[in-house]
Amino acid sequence: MKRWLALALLLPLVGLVLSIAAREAGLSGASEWRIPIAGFDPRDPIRGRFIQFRYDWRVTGDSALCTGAACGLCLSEEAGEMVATMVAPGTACPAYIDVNGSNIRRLNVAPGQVPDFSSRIFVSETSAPKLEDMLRREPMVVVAQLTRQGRLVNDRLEPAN
Amino acid sequence: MSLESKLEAWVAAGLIDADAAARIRVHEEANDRPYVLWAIVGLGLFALALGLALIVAANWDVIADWVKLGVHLALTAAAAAAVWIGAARGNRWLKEGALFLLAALVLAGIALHSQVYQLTGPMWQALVPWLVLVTPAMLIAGSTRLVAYGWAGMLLWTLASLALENEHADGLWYFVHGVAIAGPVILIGLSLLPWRSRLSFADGLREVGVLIWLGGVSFAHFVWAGTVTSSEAGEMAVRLVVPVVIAAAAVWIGRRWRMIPQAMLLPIVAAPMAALLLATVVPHADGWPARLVGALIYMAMWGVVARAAIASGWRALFGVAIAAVGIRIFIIYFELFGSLATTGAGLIIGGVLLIALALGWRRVFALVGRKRA
Repeated sequence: MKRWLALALLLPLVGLVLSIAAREAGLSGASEWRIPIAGFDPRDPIRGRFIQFRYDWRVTGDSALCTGAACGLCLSEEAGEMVATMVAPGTACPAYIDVNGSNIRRLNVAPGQVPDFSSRIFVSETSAPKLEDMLRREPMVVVAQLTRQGRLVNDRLEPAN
Repeated sequence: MSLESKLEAWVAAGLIDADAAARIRVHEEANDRPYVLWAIVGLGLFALALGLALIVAANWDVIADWVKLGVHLALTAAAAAAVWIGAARGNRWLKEGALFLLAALVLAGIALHSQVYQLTGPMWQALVPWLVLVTPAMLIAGSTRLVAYGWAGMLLWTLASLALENEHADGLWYFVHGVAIAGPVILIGLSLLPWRSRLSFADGLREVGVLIWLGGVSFAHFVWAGTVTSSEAGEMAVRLVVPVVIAAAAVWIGRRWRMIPQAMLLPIVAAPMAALLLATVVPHADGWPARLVGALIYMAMWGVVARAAIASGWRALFGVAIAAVGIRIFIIYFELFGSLATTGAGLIIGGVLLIALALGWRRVFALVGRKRA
């Protein structure tokens, strides 16, 4: 019984350490992107304040590829504009985003409509009101890390200019 | 009536003598459990846990991420060590308190990881890992209602979150919905296992399970006041396969180890299951016949529970069952099955029937008592 209790008590510690290791490994070698956004600021019961925002990029490609359980986006920059092209899941491209794996939500999912994509970023209690105010007043971007596995990890919000 | 008043009444009635009363008093004092103290300590630990969650939720900018993660890991390790020391020394207060804090710290830690690494997924993605990481320690070391209530509450929150955030998903998700519906039955089934010296923990699991199962099915019976199409009924039938299997397993466990009176098993497990099945897998249109059937099934379920509770000495549950039937009768007053006149006539007939049943029941008990004497 003592051995089982020791293992049970070690489990949370090992789980938390493995969680940190997995996130750090995922972020190593990630590329950084600045994507225009528009958003607002609600609260989560255990994770605190967050900014909910919509990616303000131009969406192209076949929306039929992005209505099922899986969805992929190929991110690129054309003449200073961010472009997200809907592609089949797993398509090889220089900056591939796994939409579901990144917990990005699709809006306008009706067939034939070009979808919008939204996400959120957890922010501190003190900076949330300021960021919300900035989002209303000026163009903002989310600085995000794109991992090699296609997970887009939001890092911070800052003014576009 | 307090024990002291009862003892005085029994001595006065000549049922026991003063020496026997004194021996009973000494025995009860020796086995006294500090419920009030536990309740206050429990509330304190709950406040502490919520405070921890809020401090983490504030997501302070001034503290570097690695400092937050490091301090959190150190606190979690300290809580785990305190559980170990408490268990080794047989110090129940230390072990249970530290176990509760360990669970709170792991939840706060998952929230912290979500902030640091921007894990923006739905709530269930934070709650499921908590359940996986903490459940073994809670089930192996937990021995009081404090830990039982905490773990049971989190299990139900996790399952509800998992199902509600994926309520429109189909296929295999139907089985997940089924597990979520069966959450309280899982608690009842677990509580019926042989817990030996940890009966308070088992009682805690069962209390939460019975409360939520009977309460949940009572709410679900209002489905009778709406329309259930054939396709909706078919989908619910698939979802309810898992709860039926789990309920059958709980009844089997209950019969195998006999941790509660056998008369209670079917009323608290199978009767609500049957009421839920009838409400959700039988297609019906909204109308007074369906509403009346729903109300009758509801009252039959609580009637069966009340009968078993009084026979098993579960007086608190008997009181709850009678109150539940009373509330439903009162709701009929506002619900109006037909016109004012027909509903009024129905209530009068129902009331007379209930009084007649109660008097008949009393007579049956009196006859049985006389025969025994």
